[in-house]
Amino acid sequence: MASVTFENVTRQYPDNIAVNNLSMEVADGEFLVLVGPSGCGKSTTLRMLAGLESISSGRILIGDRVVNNVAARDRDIAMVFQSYALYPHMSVRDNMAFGLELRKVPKDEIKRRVDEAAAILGIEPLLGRKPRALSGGQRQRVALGRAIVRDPAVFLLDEPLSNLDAKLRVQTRAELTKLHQRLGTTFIYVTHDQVEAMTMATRIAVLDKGVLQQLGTPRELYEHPRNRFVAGFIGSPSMNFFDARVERDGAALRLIAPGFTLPLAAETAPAAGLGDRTEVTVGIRPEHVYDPRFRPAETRATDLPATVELTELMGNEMFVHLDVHGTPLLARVDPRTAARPGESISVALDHDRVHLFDKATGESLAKYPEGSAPVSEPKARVAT
Amino acid sequence: MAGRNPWTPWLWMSPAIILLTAFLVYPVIDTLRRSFLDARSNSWVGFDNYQFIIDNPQTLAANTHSALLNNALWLIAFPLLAVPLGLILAVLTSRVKYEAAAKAGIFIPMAISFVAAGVIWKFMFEFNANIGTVNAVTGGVGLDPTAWLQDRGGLQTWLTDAGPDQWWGPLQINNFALIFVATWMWTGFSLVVLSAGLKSISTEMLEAARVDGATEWQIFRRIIIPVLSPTIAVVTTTLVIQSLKVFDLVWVMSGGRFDTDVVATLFFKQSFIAGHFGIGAALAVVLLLAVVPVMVVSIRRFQFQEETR
Repeated sequence: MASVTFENVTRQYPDNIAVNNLSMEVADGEFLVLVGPSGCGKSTTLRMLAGLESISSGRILIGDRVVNNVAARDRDIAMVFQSYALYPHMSVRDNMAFGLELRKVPKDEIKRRVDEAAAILGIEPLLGRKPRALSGGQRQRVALGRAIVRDPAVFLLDEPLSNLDAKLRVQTRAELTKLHQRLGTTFIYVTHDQVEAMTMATRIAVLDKGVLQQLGTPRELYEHPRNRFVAGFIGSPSMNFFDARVERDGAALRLIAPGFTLPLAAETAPAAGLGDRTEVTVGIRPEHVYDPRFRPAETRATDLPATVELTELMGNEMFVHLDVHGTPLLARVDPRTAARPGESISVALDHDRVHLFDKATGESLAKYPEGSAPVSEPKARVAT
Repeated sequence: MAGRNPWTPWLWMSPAIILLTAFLVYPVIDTLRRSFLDARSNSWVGFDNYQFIIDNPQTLAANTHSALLNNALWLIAFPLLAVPLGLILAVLTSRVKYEAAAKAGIFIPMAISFVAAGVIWKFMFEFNANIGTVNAVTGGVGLDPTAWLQDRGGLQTWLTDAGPDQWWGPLQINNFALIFVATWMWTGFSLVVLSAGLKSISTEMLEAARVDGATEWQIFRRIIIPVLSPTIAVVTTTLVIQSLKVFDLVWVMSGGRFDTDVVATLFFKQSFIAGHFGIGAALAVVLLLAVVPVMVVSIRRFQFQEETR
């Protein structure tokens, strides 16, 4: 078991920068999820840590050891690949034992550890089979088993669930969390799926264009996104954004959007830098746009007339695509709503729950709670 | 299906059946028949022709034992040289930038006809160092010129104290010179097929092995070779069949002289030079019998792979 430290790590290719000046610390036993859209540098980050990709500048430490020049085989890590990468000519047992054999672990010790890992994952009946005789879910377990038997300092998982069907993915997600709790080893997990990140991580690192956007607990990221990118990436369906202008009316502040006005509560509005006539981007999550009939008590909201364009019934909730004076808004409402496509209804915007972003830079204008302060240098533009 | 004429399938198959019968089945049966007839295919001689091959009286300039042993040497040495060489080159070329150019260069000899290659290498192996490049090179490092295509001296004489006349079996310098040329021609084939197999191995699997703690050599030996084994088997089978059928190279370069005959050259000599169709046919049958097991094994293997796909 070990902590992992990235110190100003950069991976430069001839025509682009895959990872730009990444600094973060992963504590021992943490379940860190690296998340971001494709091409954001999350896989490159993991591969640099695994020793499969060289580091252009900066340092990576596993525990106290700088591993920049340590070969992958000597880093004491285990990795689960997206394609599982099982050895097709070996039985499941041999697949799991391979890493231990190479490390000259005694035969009976290998057998004990493989049996133990197989028991944890429930794959004992498969030990004699070849990978091609297994289903996708079974292969995924064997790949996990191959990592577990090694008892490594750090587990690396590169989109291990993306080749599973939706139902199995949800099930395996919970099993991975349990496995992490049971083993207590540091997990570093790469995914493009923010749901996986939210459900499994102890902390999430959001990357975009090679730059770390925010590092924090799932709750911090959801409630206090540092910039517009994180706000839009975390949460499903994504946050609504629209442009507005701040107007000071005595002591109170108001947001003037095209066609409607929202009051801005004093506690929501960051005092600093938000003067009269500041142009901002307003973000509001779909669950904070209510059908007035089912509006939770003790919320303060502004009622607005809207036209319903489309409804999507999910069963337990309904997504309503709205048009508010030309501004598209998505609301996530109680399925008993009266909203029907083409009809005009009234919706309530929870003006206490809006997020304000600088219109030009996309940075959040909110005051950061302790512990989720900005983590990266000012955003560098990266050619892609 | 009801109402369909039972002869329809046969009608569709008839072109293939007629062609195969005329050009494959009939010649095989006729060759078998002739192998039991005399020189002019006039009268029945029983197993005399086969007895001739076994007894090796060395009449009609036919050293049948030498030809059989030479073919056995080809069978072993040729795939043993060309397959590992192709594998090594496949791994090496996969790691260089100019991979396509390197592979094309190695593959080019494959595009040359055997006769042309034979002529080229006949010059290369020429005793006179002013003509023979090989002797010019070996002379350059201070070695005496060698009559590569004539020297019956055993390769083993270089390794032991026995003199150059103490040759043993088919391990003659001139046989190896011929096998070398075949290797030069066929390594490109072996390289291209193995390289395609190598490409189909996922990089993630090799990375998994690397993370698992394997050195590059362990990855090669324990992952790449076993995963590639079906492809290696295909290449080996092809080369084994090639070595059993070898004719043109030997015919052009040495004409089978100095004990370099193989079964195919001897069969040609007996049939069309010495004019003994009986012995010629018997040699052809021997060749056929030697190829059949290899074919059976490779077909079985192919079927097995199809089933386990």
